[in-house]
Amino acid sequence: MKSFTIRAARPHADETTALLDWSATRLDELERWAIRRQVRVPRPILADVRRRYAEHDGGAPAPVPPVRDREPDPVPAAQAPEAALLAALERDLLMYAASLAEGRVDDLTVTTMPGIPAAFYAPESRRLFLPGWLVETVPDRLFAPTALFPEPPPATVSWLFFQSLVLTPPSVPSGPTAHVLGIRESD
Amino acid sequence: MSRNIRVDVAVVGDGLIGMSTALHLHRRYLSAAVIGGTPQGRASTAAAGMLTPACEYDPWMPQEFYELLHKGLDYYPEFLSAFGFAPETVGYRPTDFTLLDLVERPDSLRSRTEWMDKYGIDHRWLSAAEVCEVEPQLSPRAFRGAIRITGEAVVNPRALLQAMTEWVTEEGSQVLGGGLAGVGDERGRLRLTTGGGDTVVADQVVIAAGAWSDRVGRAFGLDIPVCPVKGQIVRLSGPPGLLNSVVFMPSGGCGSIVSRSPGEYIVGTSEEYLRPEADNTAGVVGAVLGRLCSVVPEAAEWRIEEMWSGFRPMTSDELPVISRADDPRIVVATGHHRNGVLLTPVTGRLVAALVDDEAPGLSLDRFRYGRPLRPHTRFATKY
Repeated sequence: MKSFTIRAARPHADETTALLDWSATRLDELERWAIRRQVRVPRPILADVRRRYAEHDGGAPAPVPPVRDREPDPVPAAQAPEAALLAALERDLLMYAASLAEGRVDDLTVTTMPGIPAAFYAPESRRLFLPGWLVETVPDRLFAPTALFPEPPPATVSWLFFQSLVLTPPSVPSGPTAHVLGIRESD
Repeated sequence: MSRNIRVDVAVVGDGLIGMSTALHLHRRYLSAAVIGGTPQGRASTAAAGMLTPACEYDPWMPQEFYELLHKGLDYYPEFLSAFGFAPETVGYRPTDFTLLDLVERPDSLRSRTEWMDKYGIDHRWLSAAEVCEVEPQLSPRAFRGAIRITGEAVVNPRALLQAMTEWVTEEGSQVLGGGLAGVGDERGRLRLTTGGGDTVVADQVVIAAGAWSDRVGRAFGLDIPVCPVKGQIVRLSGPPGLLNSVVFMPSGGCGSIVSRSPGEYIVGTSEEYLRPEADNTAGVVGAVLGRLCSVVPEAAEWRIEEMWSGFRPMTSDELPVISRADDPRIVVATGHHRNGVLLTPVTGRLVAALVDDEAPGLSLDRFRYGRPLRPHTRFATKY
């Protein structure tokens, strides 16, 4: 693969609700996603997902999110408010050529939304949904400095895609994109 | 009182790799001084001490890496004998490994036997019933079967490090604390100052500073892109003789149950990329002990004696760096990730050969300094 393209898209009006509902039915996945990546989901967003879970008693059938195979509403990437991050994501994912080729992914459409709790990926439409609060704080280092390691190594932002949660229908297990699509993240 | 020391080689790093290097340099009649840093979080004393190429190698890695791991295992007995370390004093013993095909994994491990056949690893597939015959303390509720591997070994890394440190000291090498504080040139030689105020002037320097090698490298103007990967370990006591092999649990951070001495069980571990604190956490310890108790139900009664954590040095391609750097006066030996204990003796031998301008007897091209490496990625914590 010689190129990797990222496009930007606006969210559709009902997509935040759809992703929150999907998250409520995969609360265990969502909580594990955040904890194991040192991601601090804003409390109101997490509380909203937990309330939805509790109201449905955790057992309501997961609606298939309309976002899974919907056509994106494109916006020129350079005009997207997160243009710098998208450029970094494109640059970093290009370094994983072998892995991405295995997963048959050569382009992505990225939509940033303020009220969602995690990064999500819809394989059918190759759409990546990123939380606005995460986009604003994506670290360029592996971790924050500590007394033991005061100079943390630089890090790629590729994990925003590889470790996004795959939007699957209720009967299909979810998990991080790299795992579900059989992509090795460290090719 | 600060010291001024003139040696052939300064070794930065007083862990397993650094000490093994100092030992092998001594064998070549090269004088060495070892500069150590903080013992907190070092991998050398954190590891369980499994010497298992078969469990640690993955087929996506280059074959040269398996060959290096295998040489590491093969060299251990000769190494111990050459330096007069009695196997029992460093906890070295050959043992079988039981690589469990855990039910918590959706995919079976059985396909691993194909590459094990290719590499001539002595192994056999065991059904769950056969596992129960050879390891009656394990519950078949936790696994579908196992690969039993013969001809590998364990060592006690803490005992080994202590023995090597004593050997190096007794043979007259200086072991200096305080960490590396500064680097300069002195008429073509390298001048190193320590945090304790000592000065070492050396013709050559070996950087073997584990997870801190990137920082040490920067002091020499080198780019050594390793990151710290934390692992948490728990030591328990229970009845002796419950296990007939090392039990390897390839899930999460790839844990293990190692009987270090009769009734002493070392259990781990995690792979954590984002939490550089030398501590133990509820989630990891809970998961590690939960898995232990599902595999060995009787372990629920074992007493927790101690827990700790350490940081493995990892490159983004998960291969070590064993090579001369751009500055020909410097040799780098780091990035051993999960295989630092296994590769301790052979790395010392290889590095000493490089320092002595001798062919190392093994292709090290895959492990060269300066090979293309991507920046690190924020992997999720595994446990």
